[in-house]
Amino acid sequence: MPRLAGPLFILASAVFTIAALSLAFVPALGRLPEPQITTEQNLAIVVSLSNPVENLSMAELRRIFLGERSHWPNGRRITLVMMEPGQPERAVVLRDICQMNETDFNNHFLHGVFTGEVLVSPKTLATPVGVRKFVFNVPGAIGYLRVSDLDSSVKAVRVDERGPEDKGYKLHVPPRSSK
Amino acid sequence: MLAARMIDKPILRTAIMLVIDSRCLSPECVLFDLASTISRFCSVVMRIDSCLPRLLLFDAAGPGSHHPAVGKRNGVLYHHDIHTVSGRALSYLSSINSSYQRLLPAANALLKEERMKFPGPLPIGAMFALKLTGRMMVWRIFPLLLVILVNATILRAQQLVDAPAADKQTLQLLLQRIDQLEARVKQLEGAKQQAAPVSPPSAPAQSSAPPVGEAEPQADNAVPERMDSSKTLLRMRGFGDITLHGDNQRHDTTSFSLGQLNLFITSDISEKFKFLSEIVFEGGPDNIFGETRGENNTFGVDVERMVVQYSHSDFFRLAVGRYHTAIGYYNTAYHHSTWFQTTTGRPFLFQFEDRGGILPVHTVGASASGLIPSGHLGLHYVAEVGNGRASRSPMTDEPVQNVVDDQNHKAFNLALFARPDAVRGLQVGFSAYRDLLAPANVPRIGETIFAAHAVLVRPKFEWLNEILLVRHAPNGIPRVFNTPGFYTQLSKQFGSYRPYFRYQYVNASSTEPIFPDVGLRQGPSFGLRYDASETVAVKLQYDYTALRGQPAVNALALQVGFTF
Repeated sequence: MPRLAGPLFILASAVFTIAALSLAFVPALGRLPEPQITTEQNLAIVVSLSNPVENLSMAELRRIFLGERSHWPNGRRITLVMMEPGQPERAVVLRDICQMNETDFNNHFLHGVFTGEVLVSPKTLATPVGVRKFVFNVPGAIGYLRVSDLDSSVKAVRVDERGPEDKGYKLHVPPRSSK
Repeated sequence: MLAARMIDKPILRTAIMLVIDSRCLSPECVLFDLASTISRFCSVVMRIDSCLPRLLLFDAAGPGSHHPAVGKRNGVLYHHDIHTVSGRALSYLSSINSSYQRLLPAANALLKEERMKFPGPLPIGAMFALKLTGRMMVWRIFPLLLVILVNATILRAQQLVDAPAADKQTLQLLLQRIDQLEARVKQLEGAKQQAAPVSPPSAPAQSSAPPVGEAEPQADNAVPERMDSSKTLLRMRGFGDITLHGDNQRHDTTSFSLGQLNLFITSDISEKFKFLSEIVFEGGPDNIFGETRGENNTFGVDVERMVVQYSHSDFFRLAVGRYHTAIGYYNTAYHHSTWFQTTTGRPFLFQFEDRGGILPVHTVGASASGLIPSGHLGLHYVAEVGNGRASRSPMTDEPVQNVVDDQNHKAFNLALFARPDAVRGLQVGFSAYRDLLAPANVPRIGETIFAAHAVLVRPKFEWLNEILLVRHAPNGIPRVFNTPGFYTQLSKQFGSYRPYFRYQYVNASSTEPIFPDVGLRQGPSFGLRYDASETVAVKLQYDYTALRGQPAVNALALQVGFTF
C-alpha cells in the first residue's frame, strides 16, 4: 500500500491540476481568424525594388515565411515583415502560405530561433504604410500588402508565375471593415 | 539627439524644424499644455511611434487649417507623429525653452529664405519639432497618448475622406523641396550636436522616410540591421520546469523536483553573425555512465550551448562553440527545454551526458551546415569536427571537453537529411559520427555512431522514429561492442490536449567498455500534455521500463513546463 501512495498522489495531483486549469483558462490558443469572403482583394507579396526576385513559388514563399530560408539569391538576408495579429492580411498569410494558426506560427519561430535554424524572428508592423516603408528601406525585406495599398516604392512579386493583378492569383484578402 | 525628419502634404511649401532639447523642458507642463491644445485643434493625421512619442511637429496654422491628404498613398510620406496645433503652443514653448531661443534666429532665417523662394501666403507659418526623450516615464505620458490616439483615429478618417487628389508634378516638386529641407535640418542638427558634446541617442535608422520617386538610390539610403551602439543587442528567453515524480524503485521517493532553469540568450552581432547560448541552472547530482557525482539538492550552472554562427547564405553556415551534436533528429530539434518537448523528458537514447546518456550529445568544435541544391527534395548537410567526449580522464569527470581535449584526435560527424516539399513536415536523414576514445590503461577504442531517422512533424501531429547503433571497437581486440537502440513517438493534438505514446529500446552488452551500466532497457510511455496557455504546459506521463536482470520500473511524473 505505501508503494501505491506516491503514484496515487501524483495521479490525483495531475487530475486536480488539469481540471483546475481547464476551468480557469479559456483556451486562448490561437485560432486562425477566418477571413470573410465578400468582395475580395488580392494580397500582393512585396519586396524591395532593389531585390532581383520576380517570382516565387508557393513552396518557396512558405519556406521564406516560416524562416526556413534566410537569404535571397543575391546574398542579402531575408527580413520578414508581418502585420499585427488580428489583421486580415496576416490571417491570409498564415492560412494560405504558412498553413498554421497564430499559436503554431509563434511556436514555430520560437522553436526555430531556439534551435538556431531561424536567424531572426519576423518584424511586426501595425499598418500597411509601415510595411511599405519598411520594405522600401530594407533591401532584404519581404512583406505583404493589399493591391490597393501598393505604390511605386515597393515591388510586388509574382506567385507561381501570376501577378496580383492576374486572374487565378492565389492570395485573396477580404475588404477592410468600415469601422 | 533624435534625427528628425519631416514630411508633409503637397500644399506645404515650406517648413522649418527645430529640435528642442527636452533636457531644458519641464515635461509635465509641456504635456499638459499639449494635451489640451491638441485635443482642441488637432486636425491632421497623427501616428504614435512604437513606444514613446519621440517627435511632435507643430504648425502655427491654427484651428482652421486642415492638411489635405495626398491620397491613399500619401501615408508613405508620413514619418513621425504629426500634429497641427495653435501658435499658442509655440509661444509657450518658446517662452520656456532656452534651446529654442538659441535656435530661433536660424529658424527665422530659414523661414525668410523660404518665403522669398515661394512668394505668397504661407499656409503654415512654422513647424517645430519637440523631442521627448525616454527619460519620461511611460506612466506620465500614457494618458496623453490615449487622448492623442483617440483624436487621431477620428481625425484620420475625416482627413482621408476629404482628401483632394494631388497633382503629381506638384507632388514631385514638393518632394524635392522636402529633401532639400531635410538636408538643411540635418545641417542644423549637426551644428547643434557639435555645440552639445553629450547628445541623446539618435532615432532608429529604419524609421527614415523614403524619398519616393527616386528608385535608384534606395539601396544607398537603406540602412538594414546596422549595428546601433545605443541598442540592446541581447535577447533573452527563459524556460523552466517543475516535476512531481515517483517510481517503484528501491530507495526512490516521490519528490517534487526543480528541473532545468534555462536562460536562452541570442544576439544579432551583425547581419552575418549571430550569437546563441543556453545557460542552465539545474539541481541534483550528475549521473555519468551510472556513476553519481554531486549532492542531491544543490544547484549547478552549465553553459549548455554557446555558439557564434556565421551565416553566409542558405548553403553555408558555420558555427563554432559548444553545440548539440547533429546525431539523429531529437538532439538538434530539442535542447534544454521540456516545454518544447511533447513528453516530460528526452528519450533515453538522447539523454544528456550528465543524466546517464550514452551519446556525445554536446560537442565543442565547429559545425558547418546548409542546404544542398536539390530542388523539391530539400537536402541539407551538417559537417562537424570537435573535441569529442572525454575518455582519458575518469569517466565520472565532465564528459564534455569544454576547454582541453585529452588527445589530439578529433571527433567527426556528418549528417544528411531531406525535407521534401511533397510531404509537409517530413524529414528523413542519417548521420555518422566517428571518434577515438583513449581510456587510461586500456587499448584505444574506436567509436562509431550511426543514426537514421524519419519524422513527420506538423503543428497538430507528430511521429518521430529514430534508430541508432553505437559501435565500440577496442584496438587489438577482435570483438566489437554494438549497442542498438530506437524509439518511436506518436502524438496528436486535440484542442489544448495532446495525448502521446512512446516506446523506446536500447540494448548494451554487460561487457560494454564505455557504458557497462546501461544494459537492456525497453518499454512504453503514455502521457497527456495539456497546454494551459500558450506558454505553460502540464504533462502527466507514465513510464514502464523493463530492465535486464532487474525488476521493471513503473514511474509516474507530473510536470509543469513553461517559457517566460
